[in-house]
Amino acid sequence: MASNVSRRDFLKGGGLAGITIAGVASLGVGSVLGTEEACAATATMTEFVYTCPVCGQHTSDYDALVKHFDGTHPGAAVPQAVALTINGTTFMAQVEPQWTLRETLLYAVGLTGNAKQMCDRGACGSCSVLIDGVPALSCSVLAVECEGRQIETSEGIAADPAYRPLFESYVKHDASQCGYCTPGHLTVAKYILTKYGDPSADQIRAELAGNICRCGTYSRHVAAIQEAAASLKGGN
Amino acid sequence: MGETSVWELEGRNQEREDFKIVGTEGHPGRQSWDMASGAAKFPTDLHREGTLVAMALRCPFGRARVKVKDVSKAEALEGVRLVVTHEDEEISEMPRMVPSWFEFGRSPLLSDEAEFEGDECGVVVVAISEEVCKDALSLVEVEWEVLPFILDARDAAKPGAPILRPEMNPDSNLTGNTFGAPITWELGNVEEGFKEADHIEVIEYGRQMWSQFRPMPPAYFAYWDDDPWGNPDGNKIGYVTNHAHFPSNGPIVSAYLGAGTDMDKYRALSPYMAARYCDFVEKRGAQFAPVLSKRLGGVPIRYIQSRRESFDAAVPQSFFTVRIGFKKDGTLCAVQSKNIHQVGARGGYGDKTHGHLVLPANAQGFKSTSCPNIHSEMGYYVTNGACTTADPGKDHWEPVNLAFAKIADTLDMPISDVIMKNVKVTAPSLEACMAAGKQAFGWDEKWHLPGKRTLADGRLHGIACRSCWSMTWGMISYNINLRMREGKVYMPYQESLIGTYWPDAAQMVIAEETGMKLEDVVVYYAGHYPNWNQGDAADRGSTCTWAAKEAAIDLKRKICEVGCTYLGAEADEVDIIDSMLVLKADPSVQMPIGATGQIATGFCGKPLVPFQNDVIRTMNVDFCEVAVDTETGLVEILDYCSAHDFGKIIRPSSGLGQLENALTMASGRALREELVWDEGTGVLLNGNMYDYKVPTALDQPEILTVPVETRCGGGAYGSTGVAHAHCDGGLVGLAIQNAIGEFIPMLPYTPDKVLEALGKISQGR
Repeated sequence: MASNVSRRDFLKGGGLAGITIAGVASLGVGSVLGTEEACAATATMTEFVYTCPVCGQHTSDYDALVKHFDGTHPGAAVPQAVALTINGTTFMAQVEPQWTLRETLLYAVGLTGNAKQMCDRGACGSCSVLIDGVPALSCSVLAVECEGRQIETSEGIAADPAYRPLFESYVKHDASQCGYCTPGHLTVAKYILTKYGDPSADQIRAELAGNICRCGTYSRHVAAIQEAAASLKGGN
Repeated sequence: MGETSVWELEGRNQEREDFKIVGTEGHPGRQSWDMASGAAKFPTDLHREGTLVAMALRCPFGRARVKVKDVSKAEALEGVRLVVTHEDEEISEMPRMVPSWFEFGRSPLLSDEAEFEGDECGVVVVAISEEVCKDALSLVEVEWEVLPFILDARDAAKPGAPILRPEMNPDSNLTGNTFGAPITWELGNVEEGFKEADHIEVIEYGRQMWSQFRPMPPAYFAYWDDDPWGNPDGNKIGYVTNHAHFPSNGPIVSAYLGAGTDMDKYRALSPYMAARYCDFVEKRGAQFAPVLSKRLGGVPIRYIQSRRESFDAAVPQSFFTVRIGFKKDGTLCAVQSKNIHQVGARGGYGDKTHGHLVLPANAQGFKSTSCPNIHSEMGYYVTNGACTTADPGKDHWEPVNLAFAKIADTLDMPISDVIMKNVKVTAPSLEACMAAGKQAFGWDEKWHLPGKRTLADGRLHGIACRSCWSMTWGMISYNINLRMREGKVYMPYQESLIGTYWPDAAQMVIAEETGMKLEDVVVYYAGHYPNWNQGDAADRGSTCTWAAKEAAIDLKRKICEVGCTYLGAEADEVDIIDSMLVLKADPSVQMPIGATGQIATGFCGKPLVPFQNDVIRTMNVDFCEVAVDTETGLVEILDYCSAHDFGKIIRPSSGLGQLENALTMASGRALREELVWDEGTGVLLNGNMYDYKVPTALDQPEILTVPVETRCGGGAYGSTGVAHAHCDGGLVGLAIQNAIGEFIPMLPYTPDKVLEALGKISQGR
């Protein structure tokens, strides 16, 4: 149920007045982004908040939620949590068993870069993440399937100084227009760089074939990835 | 040969030549980092604890009336917070206001009639989750009365067709158009013109509905809360997501129009709205979300519209039959055009498609030829199937170019020559584009008579080119406010971003005119800044920059007037260079402009460019090369080349990006994009991204962009719009004709139509 979703309780300054928005510093958002003028405000992570779906009480960790259930709602089904490793950080996320990884990123984790939904059936690539280094559609993977696996999102790649050249080439070439699909493209771009090192245009287009961009920015991605490859090859 | 455009230069510094910033590369967009990293929050990304979900009953039939018999079981379901029907007192009165330009076709926000499959009608449910909403809707007892529907505007025009909107027109499905353009008009004397003709031919052009296809399905999210900037009247503020950019923050406009409240009670939640083709289609959720939230005490509401349901917005059908008369030298002397244009269904909200914003199609494009005799008859017909966007004119050039191709085919001439013989009011723009494009494309080496070249792999080779005007939107006044403080110039904006980088173009113009360093000009999103129309949408960025230029000139003047006293000079003796106030006579004498205090100015206005295309200043010419497999009917676009007169290119990367965008979209529309309904039930058959396939990275053709600058446009420094002009797919059809020798009268150019044109199959059409 939407009203019982547990989620990170932190504030991201700037930009969006009056709304609590998820952002995760330790998981990647904003920490290496651009210039002061060009970047989002750095998020400040506090702690996860776990919410009792019966009475709405918040707890600061999952064990406390379980304890709360035992004491206050004996006999009720204890909310499920799954240990997820996202962008190198492992944590317990309170999820519904039917939640996809995309829904989990959106509602429970607050990393929305790869939580984009363009299609509703694995046809657009906007929700692409890397699972154990390989592109996967987060709309088509259950969160509970991801335990013990390494999940990477665009925010995590942005936080990795090693991939700063990729971001620089993306903004240089206007690889975004409206920007909705870009995090999905960029996530696959890291995979392409990892797989090929020095990818050809054909290799890039083939690997990005599952990522739809209505703005037609495809050639910009090719240019950006090839330029990033050259930078990475040259030691930045 | 065409005529020379003549117009008065508008505004100040339009003839500037000493550009330091405008036209230069290497300036990342203000939002680029956030868009790439995923830090950018789109409406779909917004979530608050306790968010409720709203869903409407959707019609399963092509058209139907619903009788809501009992909602008590839905109301009693655990997790349901609210059930409203079309008889709800508040909802039934919405929208309370509509813009003055909608004089016909007004529809209620929620009624008992659904105009297409998937249309919202009868009931809206608010619950704790999407699943509970679905369960609740299934518990609503309804009775459907299936009504006759029409999917094709040509059927709607036939005598005896079911009347779909008798309250609007009891006699037929014909409707008016928004700007009151005449249904029938004539220039010269067409019959006399045909008597002068050496050749008379008839051309057919048709286009089925394309999905508007927004990458982000509408994600209406709204809540009411205290205003952090103060609530003098004690009212809460409605926070609403943006999904439209014209006329300014569509859902916000919709919300206050719909509810009959004041605009200052709404705030935009996100500067991002993702892409869309043109505008004018916004959905009911834009009004429902804030209204339902208010009803429930301000709780966050997300109004659900799935991808499947988002195929309800489309570019309309248009069908032309045109008789043309022309002379031996290829000049047109008579045009008789009949156009049936689709208005489509309602289903949008108060200020957009609620009443349909219909722009005049018809033979407008032929007015831009030197043909003295033109007769145009058109009709707009309401249908079912889907809502439609407006069609701001560019399509008028599709039958014009088809006519040129017919002349070329008849006289064994290159179409490029026919264009140059017939298009008027274009010099120097058309000549410049044609020359630059032909050279870049290699036209003279590639051109051949139809059906005369076969590639080494056995496919037929074809090329074509087409001309079109470049749109500059002069309809809207742009509101630019600038403030200099602490040595920086700030420009707030609220209009959501669609991908044109217009704030970044405005930043460059402001820096150019004020003398500030680019990094000292800050354009920033201000959700609490309820200004109107700043400049997004495909072609409006150029005219927005014109207003930014005017504002920047005013600001510089004010800064100099104040600052000159510090340097012991008069205002005209000082200048701003690299963000420093300097003495012109001795540039070593300078001071930071921040020392002059805080100085602000505003400019609201627009250049005097016309909205429609009676006056054309800038043109573009696109070239296309195809290979046609005569065994399978498959068409491959080998090469696109676009010579576009930008007037003055302000931000090259995004300007050229708009060309790539539009031509990629055009390639999809040319070869495969088409909404298909079941003719028996009116149910959409391809409302998903597998069956409605937009171009992928593998489908994108080679696109060579050739910027031309004549300074003839109406925007800043003579700049002009880009994208609209290139979105249509008709050029591919002309190239196919050059390959196979046959015209295909209906887009998209799918293999079955190619094979039929080749005489290999018959589909009985």
